[in-house]
Amino acid sequence: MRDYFRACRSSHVGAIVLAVAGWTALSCGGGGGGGDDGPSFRCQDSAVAADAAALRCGQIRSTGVRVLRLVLGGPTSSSDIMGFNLDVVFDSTVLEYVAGSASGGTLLNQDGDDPLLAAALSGSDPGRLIVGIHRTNQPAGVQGAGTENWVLEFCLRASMMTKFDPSLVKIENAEAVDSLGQPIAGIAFSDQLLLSVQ
Amino acid sequence: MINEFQRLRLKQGCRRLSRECRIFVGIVAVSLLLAPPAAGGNGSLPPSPGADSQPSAPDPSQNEQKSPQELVLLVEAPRGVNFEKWQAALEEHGVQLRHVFPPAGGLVIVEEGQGAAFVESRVPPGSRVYSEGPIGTDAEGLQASREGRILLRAQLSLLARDQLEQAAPPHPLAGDGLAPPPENRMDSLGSCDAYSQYRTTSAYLLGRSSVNVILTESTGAAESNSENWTSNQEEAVYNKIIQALNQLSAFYNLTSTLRPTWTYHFYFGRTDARARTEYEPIQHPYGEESLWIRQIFDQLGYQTDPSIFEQGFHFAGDTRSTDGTSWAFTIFVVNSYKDTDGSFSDEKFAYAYIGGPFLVMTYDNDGWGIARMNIVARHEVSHIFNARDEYWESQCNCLESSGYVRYLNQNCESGCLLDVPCIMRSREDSSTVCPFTRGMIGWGDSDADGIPDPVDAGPETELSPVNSDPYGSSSLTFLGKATSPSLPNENPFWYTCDINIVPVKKVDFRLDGGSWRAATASDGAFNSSEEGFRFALTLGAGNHTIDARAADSLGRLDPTPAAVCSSRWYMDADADGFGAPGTAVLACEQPAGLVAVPTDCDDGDPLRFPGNPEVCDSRDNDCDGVGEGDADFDARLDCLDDCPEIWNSDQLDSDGDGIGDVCEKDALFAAANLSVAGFSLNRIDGRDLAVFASALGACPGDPSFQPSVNLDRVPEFLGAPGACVGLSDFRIFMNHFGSTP
Repeated sequence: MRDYFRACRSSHVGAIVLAVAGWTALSCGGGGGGGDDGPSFRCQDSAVAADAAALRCGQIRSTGVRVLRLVLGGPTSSSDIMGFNLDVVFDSTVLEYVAGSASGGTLLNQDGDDPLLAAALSGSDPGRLIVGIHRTNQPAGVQGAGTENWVLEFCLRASMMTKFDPSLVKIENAEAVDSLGQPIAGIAFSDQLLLSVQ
Repeated sequence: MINEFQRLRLKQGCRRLSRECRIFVGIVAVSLLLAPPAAGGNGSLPPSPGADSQPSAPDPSQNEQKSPQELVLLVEAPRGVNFEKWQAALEEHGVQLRHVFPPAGGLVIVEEGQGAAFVESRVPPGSRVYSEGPIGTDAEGLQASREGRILLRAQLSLLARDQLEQAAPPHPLAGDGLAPPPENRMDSLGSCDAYSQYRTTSAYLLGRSSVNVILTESTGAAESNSENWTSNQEEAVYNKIIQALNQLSAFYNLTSTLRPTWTYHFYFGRTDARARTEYEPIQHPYGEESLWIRQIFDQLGYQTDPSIFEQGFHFAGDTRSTDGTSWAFTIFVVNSYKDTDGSFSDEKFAYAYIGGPFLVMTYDNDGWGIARMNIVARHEVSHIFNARDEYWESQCNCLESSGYVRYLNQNCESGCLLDVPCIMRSREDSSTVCPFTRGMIGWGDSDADGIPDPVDAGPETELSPVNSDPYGSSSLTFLGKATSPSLPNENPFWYTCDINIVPVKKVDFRLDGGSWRAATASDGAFNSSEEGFRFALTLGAGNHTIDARAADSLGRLDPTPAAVCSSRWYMDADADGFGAPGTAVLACEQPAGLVAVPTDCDDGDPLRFPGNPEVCDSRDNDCDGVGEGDADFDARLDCLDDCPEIWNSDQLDSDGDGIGDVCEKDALFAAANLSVAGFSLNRIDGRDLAVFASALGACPGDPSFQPSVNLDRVPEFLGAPGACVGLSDFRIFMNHFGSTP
C-alpha cells in the first residue's frame, strides 16, 4: 500500500536507493487498452494556470486503468519548491488506487536530486491516497519553468468497469513546501478532474 | 613342426621374456625351418673366378631373388624439391623407395599385385615414373647429375633379370667378421645417453638405412700408386652393391613397411678428393687400415675424433640425421684390379665390424671376382647389422650370440642345431638367410605375428586431465603421452641403447564409447616413438568416460586404451555431504571422503551446507549468505530479539506479549509521526515525510541530523551505520506511512 522512491548522493543513503528500487513499481500495469468495444474509462480535465497545481488526465495503461498526473502550472513564482504534500480523494466505491503505481515526475529532480516519494492509502479511508514527495538534503528548492511542470503520477483503476457518472477526484491537505519546510502560499491546488465509465 | 600349442605358448610368453626365451624360440623355429626354402640361386654352378674380368655395364650376373612379377620402377623427383619431404609424401601414399639417390629420385620394387599405375597415381606432382628407364630428352634431367646417372644405371642393372647368380668359390672369406675393438664398444652397464644413441647406427636391419660408399683412390704421395679406378669399374661396384642390398631387402619376409631400404651416398676417389689417400690401401694388411681410413675420414670432416671407429660412427650418425633414416654405415671399396691376388697383404679381401660402423671390400674380392661382389657385400652388410659368421674357418661356435634380440649362432659349421645354406656361409650357395642369421639381424619373429622381434611391442597410451577444478565450466582439456616402447637391446656388443624405429602414427580419443576422433600431436606431428598429445572436450552433466588410444606406423593399436573419467569428486572434510569448491579429483568411482557436489560454504562446519534449515545459532546454516544477524546492533540475534528492527538492549516487554515495548504499534506510530502540525497531527503523511526527507542520510553530528528521525534508535556510540538516518529508519517509517493511531 505504500510507495516510496528516492535516491540521495550521500553514500550511506545510496543503499536505500538500491533497496527501495525493487519495491517501487512505476507502472500502472499492462499496456494499451481503452478500446472502443466495451465501456470506456473516461477522464476530463483542463489546463492549469501558473502557480496552480491540479491533476490532469494521463494515458490509459490498460483496460480500466488510467494514469493521473499532478502538474504545476508555470512558470512558478517560487524558485524554492522542495516538495508537495497532498491527499488524493476519490470515490472508493468505483475507483481504487493501483498499489505501487506512484512515481516522481521531473519537477523536483531537475537538478539531479532523487526525491523521496511516499504514497499510501489512509489507514482509515480507502478513498484517500496520502502522498508526499520531497527533495532530500538539498539546500534549496526548484522553480517550475515550464507551463506545465510534472510533479508526480499514479494510477487509478475503475474497480468493476461498470458505468458510473463523472466523479470528481479531489485534492485535500495539499501544500507545496519550501526549503524551510514552510508552505508556499503562492501555489494553489484546484479540483478539476473527472473520471467516469461510459 | 611347431604345433598350435607351441605357437600359442610362444605368442603368450615371449613378449616379456628374456634372451633365453628368444634363443629357445630360435631353436624351436629350427624345427619348422629345417627344410629350407628353395634357394633362388643355383648352388651347383662351378666357381667362376672373376679377378681378371673387366666389367661392362650392366653387369650380367643379376637378381636371382626377384620374381618375374616384380617391376623396378624409377621415380624421378622434381628438380629442386625438398627431397626428404618428397620421400615422406611418397611413403604417406604407400610408395616405398627401396633404393634412394638424393636428390635425383629412387627405385621402387613393386609388390605383387601392384603395377606401375599404382605408383604413378600416388607420386607427388612433378614426379615422373619410368618402368624401363627414360630415354632421350626424358633422361636429360637425370643425366645432369651424378646421382641421376647412378639411378638410371641401377634401374637397368636391376632390370637385367635373366642372369643367374654365380656360385661362391670354394675358398672362404677368411675371417671377415670382426668384433669392434673393446675400447670402441659401448659400456654394457652404461645408460643410453644421447651420445650412445647417436653411436647406435645399425642395431637391426629394419627400415631405412643410409649407405656411404667410398671408392678409395691413392694420390701416390706416401707410396707408389698402383691402382686407378675407371668409370666402368665404378659402375660395376655400385651396381653390385645396389644389387646386394636389393637382395637383402628381398630376403626379408615380414611386415612390408619395415622392409630394408637404402639411401646412397657415393664418394668416388677418381673424382672426389675426399675419398683419396696418400697410401695405396691394397698394399697393406687390413691391420693397417687406419693409415688410409683415417685420412679419408679426416677429409670428410672428422679430424678431431680419436679413432677411425669414432670417425665412422660420427660420419654414420651425421648421415643418418641428414637423410632422416634409422641407420647408417660406410662401405669402403679398395681397388685391387692390378693386385696379384686381389687381397690385402694379409690375404683378407673383405671384412666388416659387427655392429658397424664400416666394412671394407676389394674390387675383385680375391677369387670371388667383381661378378660375385654382391654375395660378399650382402654378407658384410649383415655383419654390420650384427650377424656372425657361420663358415668353419671363422672359428664360429654354436653358443656365441649376437643381435638386438639375442640369438645363438646355431647354424655355425660346427655341428650345431642347424646346417643349412646361408648368406653368412661362404662355400655353397648363400642366397638365403637362415633362421639364426635372421634373428641376429633383427628379422626373428618369435611369436609368428609378422612383426620382427626388435619392434614387437605395440603402442601404449597415457592420459590425464589438465584442468584441476573445472567446476562451472563444461570444457576440459586432456593431455597424454603415446609411446612406441623399445624392447631391451640384448646385443653383446652394443648393449646400451634400446631403440624402436616404429613411430607413433596417431592418437584417437572417444567420449563414452562413441566414435573415435583424432587427437593433436603436441609438437604438430606424430612421427616419433614418444609423442605428447592433447584434445579438448565439452562435457555435459553427469559422469563421462574418456578413452585415448595410440596407433603406430604398423597399424597396431594400443590394446588397452588409456581411460579417465570426468566425474569430479570434492573434499568433504566436515562430512555434511557437500564438498569444498576447488578440491576436485577426477575418478570413475567415488573416492572415500569425497562427494559430488562442491557447494559447501564452509567445509569445516557440518552445520552449514546448502538447504540446511536456518536455526537460531548465529550461523548461516543454509549457505545463502545471510545468517542470523543482529540488524539493530543491540547484541540480540534477530531470532531472539523481541524487536529486531529497533535497538532495545533492555528487551523491555511490559505487557509480556513477546513484542518489545518499542515495537508496539502505538510506540511505532508515535515515533514515525514526526510532524504534528495541522492535518498531520494524528496521521503519518507527507509532512512527516518532509521531516524525514530533511534528515535522510544525516548522521549524529551533522547539522541536519534529528535524533527523532533515527527511528531504529541505534546509538551513535556503537559506531554502526544504524546510528545515521538510513534505510532501516526508512523501512520503519514507511511501514506506518498513511496510518493513524
